Amino acid sequence: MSESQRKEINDDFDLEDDENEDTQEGKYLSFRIGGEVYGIEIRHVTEIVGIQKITEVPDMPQYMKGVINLRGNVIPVVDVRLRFHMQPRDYDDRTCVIVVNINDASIGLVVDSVKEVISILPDQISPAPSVSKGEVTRYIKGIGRFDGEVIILLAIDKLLYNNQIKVSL
Amino acid sequence: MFKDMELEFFRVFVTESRELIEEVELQLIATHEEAERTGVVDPSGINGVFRLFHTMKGSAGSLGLNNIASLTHKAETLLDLFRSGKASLQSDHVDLLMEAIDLARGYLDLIDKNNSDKGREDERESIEKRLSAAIDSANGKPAAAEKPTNDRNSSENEKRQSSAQIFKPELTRENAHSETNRPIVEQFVEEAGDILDKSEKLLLELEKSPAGSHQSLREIFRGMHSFKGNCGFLGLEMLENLSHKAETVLELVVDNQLELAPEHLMTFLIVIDSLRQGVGNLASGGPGDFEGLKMVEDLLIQLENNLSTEEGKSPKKLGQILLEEGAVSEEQLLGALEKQRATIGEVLVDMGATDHDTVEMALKKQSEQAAKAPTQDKGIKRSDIRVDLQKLDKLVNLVGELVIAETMVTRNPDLRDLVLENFDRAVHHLRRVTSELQDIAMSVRMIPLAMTFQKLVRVVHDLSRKVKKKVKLTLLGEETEVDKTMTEQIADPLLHMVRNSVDHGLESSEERLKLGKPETGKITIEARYEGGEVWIIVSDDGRGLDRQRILNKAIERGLFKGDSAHLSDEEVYAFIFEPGFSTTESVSEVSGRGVGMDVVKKNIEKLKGRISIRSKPGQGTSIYLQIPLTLAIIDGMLVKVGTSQYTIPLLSIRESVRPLAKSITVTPEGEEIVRIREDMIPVVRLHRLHGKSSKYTELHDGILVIVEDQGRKAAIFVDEILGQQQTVIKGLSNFLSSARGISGCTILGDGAVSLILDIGGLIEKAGDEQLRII
Repeated sequence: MSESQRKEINDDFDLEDDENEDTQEGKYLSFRIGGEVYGIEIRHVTEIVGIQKITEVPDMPQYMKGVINLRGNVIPVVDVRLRFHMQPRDYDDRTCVIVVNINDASIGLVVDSVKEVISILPDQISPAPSVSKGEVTRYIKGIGRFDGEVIILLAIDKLLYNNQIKVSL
Repeated sequence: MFKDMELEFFRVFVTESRELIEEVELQLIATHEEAERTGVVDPSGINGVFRLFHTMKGSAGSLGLNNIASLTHKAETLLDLFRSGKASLQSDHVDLLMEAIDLARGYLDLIDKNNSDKGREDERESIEKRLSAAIDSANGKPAAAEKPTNDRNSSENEKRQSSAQIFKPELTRENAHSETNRPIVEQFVEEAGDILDKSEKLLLELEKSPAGSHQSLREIFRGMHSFKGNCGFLGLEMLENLSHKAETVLELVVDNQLELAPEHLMTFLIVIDSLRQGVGNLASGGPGDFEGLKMVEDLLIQLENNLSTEEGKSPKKLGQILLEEGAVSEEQLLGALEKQRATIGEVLVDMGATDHDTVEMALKKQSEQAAKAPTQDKGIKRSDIRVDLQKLDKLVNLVGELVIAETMVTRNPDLRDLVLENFDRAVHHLRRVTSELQDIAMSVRMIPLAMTFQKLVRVVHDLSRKVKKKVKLTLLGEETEVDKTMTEQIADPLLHMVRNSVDHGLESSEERLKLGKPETGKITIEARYEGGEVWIIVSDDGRGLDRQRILNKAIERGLFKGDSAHLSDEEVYAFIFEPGFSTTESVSEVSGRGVGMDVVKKNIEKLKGRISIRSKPGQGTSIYLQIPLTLAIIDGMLVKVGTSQYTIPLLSIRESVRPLAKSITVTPEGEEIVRIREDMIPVVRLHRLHGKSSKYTELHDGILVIVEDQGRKAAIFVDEILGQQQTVIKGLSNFLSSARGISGCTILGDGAVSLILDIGGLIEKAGDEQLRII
């Protein structure tokens, strides 16, 4: 994704936007991992940056790649592919880090590429399929449809906090 | 020129008035709503509005804004009636006042536009007419019916003059915590705390040395007077009552230049305690009540009586005695007194030594000199300003960010190979400025330990009375400054340690005398800077720690088994930091429950400090608190392991060596041990611990950094040492909290992140995982 594209998306939202929360209902940031398109609620996203040097931190699960320096803030970074037990992929110039903020804690998510900000109406969202009780499906908030595409909507808080408990030695 | 200044004045007037109006309007509305609901009016709301109009009137008058001046004057007059209780605030009054406020606002807008308040005279006149009507009818009403005095305090009310007293007490209790009053209450609480602290300090000083007491007493009197005024303003009845009584007695003392005996001072200390209780009650949402008002008041009354009779006891005046003895007649006495009363100037003129004018001139000179001479009262005045702590934190954070950003610019890899002379010079300058800014930002949050220490004075004083021991507390290095959070965190530990000393450390008076020690026990609290740390030492000259008793207790609690002979005294004393440890037979109210020292240790460790004890039986005990000065910046040693750069806190490093192959031994379990002089130190291969790869595999190719934590040593194997630097510690996110051996991270000059090693955790982790050399 180019700088300008990224900037455009960044301009769509501010860093501190409690006021904007209401206007952000139903808006999702879509991104690609593997062959699928995923989406997360925009109100959790603080910014998007290109992939940069990650400093490894010991004693962490595989998907916890380490930390990056974001304008003076040190933020942990999760490789979503590895989190979903997919094959890892080399980082290229389209790889992005989506920085989300949950409960005042920031964390970065490494994704293959970022697409755009879209609005999905509640009637366009179907509940997650309960066919497979796999671990990953727990993080799925629902399946959304936009512009003919199917977007897997993720519950970010579940994605991050479940793993918090699992991390131990 | 003048016009410009005038415009400036207008600008300022408009801005300030607008601010005032905003504040006051809310108050008035709230007051009114309360009044509608409860039928009673809150005086502080009225006071605020009164002040608004009063201030505006004054400024408008001096700026020639006659319309505003006239309007506000009328409004102020009406409000004064409410304030003094001659009239009670009704709904219509509130509406009228709101209209007046609106018009005032309108005038401010006019000034903005036209630089004059000409206009809207009709409206003004209409409002003023109605205000006058209200004033007249208020004046016409019989005063008795309007005064909502409280029956039970009516007799005391007559004695008292404070205006707030006239309002019903109930209304103020409820309203003290209404939304609009919250900030007022908070400010009151803060200021009250200051006044009470200062007064207490002065009283305690007076106890020790009555010299200069008149000045101190006057100050305490002034403080009590302000306190009383503030309480009245907020309608805090109980507090006002007590402080008023105290003020009265103090007035008696100050006016008659009486001396106060220790018992008297004690009475005032009790007063201050009660007042503090009340303020605390107010701060936590209550109406400012406290217990034992009657008891304290009685004490004051008693004191008052004592002092009055002392006055009477003072020797009869000479003239009186002569008269009684018949040595002089009354006319002679009166004539002499007249002569005596005449000032020196008058006497000289009478004598003919000089004339009236000369005396006048001399008097003038005297007053000029007096004005110039600095009054002794002033002393060194610190110019202070209250700052919101959040703002301060933000500021300090930003400065930290600035330091990092500055390094990122000046050490940017893009510039690496360029030769830029001018740029370099500019960089030096930038670095100097940033560095100074950093120092100041760090120091901004620093406050002297004096405040924390002072609180202990009172504690020791009360405690020593309770356990009936004579104790002298000496404070050294009070001016040592530490970060504000640190003062808050060490307050409790210090309190506990001092309590221990008084309660258990110091022997009773008889014992001390028997041992040939001075009867008064000594407790010294000293603060000083040592290296990058603040050392606070609490020592007493009591009986010291009993090694055997501690050992017995430790064995009893299963904390230790086996041969104790090789344990150093310090190691034995360290047992008292275990939770639940206490060797006293009897648990006193003061201490001895055994919940103290371990909490103390935890608190100190939270500040990343250390605590240690030294003691000599029969001579005393000293507890050393060693706390790093700044929590956020440490000196670190940057080391390279493979492709990663780690930072090792300098304080933990003992030395670094390049080992010789023959100094390395491998145990049967595969642990590597290096021999440094007499020590056998286990080796920690950092890269293996963290699952990385290192450049060198042979220990003798790399470097061993010998570190120590709480007596345990380890040798960290690194590829190379990159150098020392000051590191700004950035906490590690919660998501990474389980990383053992890492205490935080920092950002290096080139933007890379370097993990800061937590030596203690590292050693533990290395111990858990038995590493094998493959």
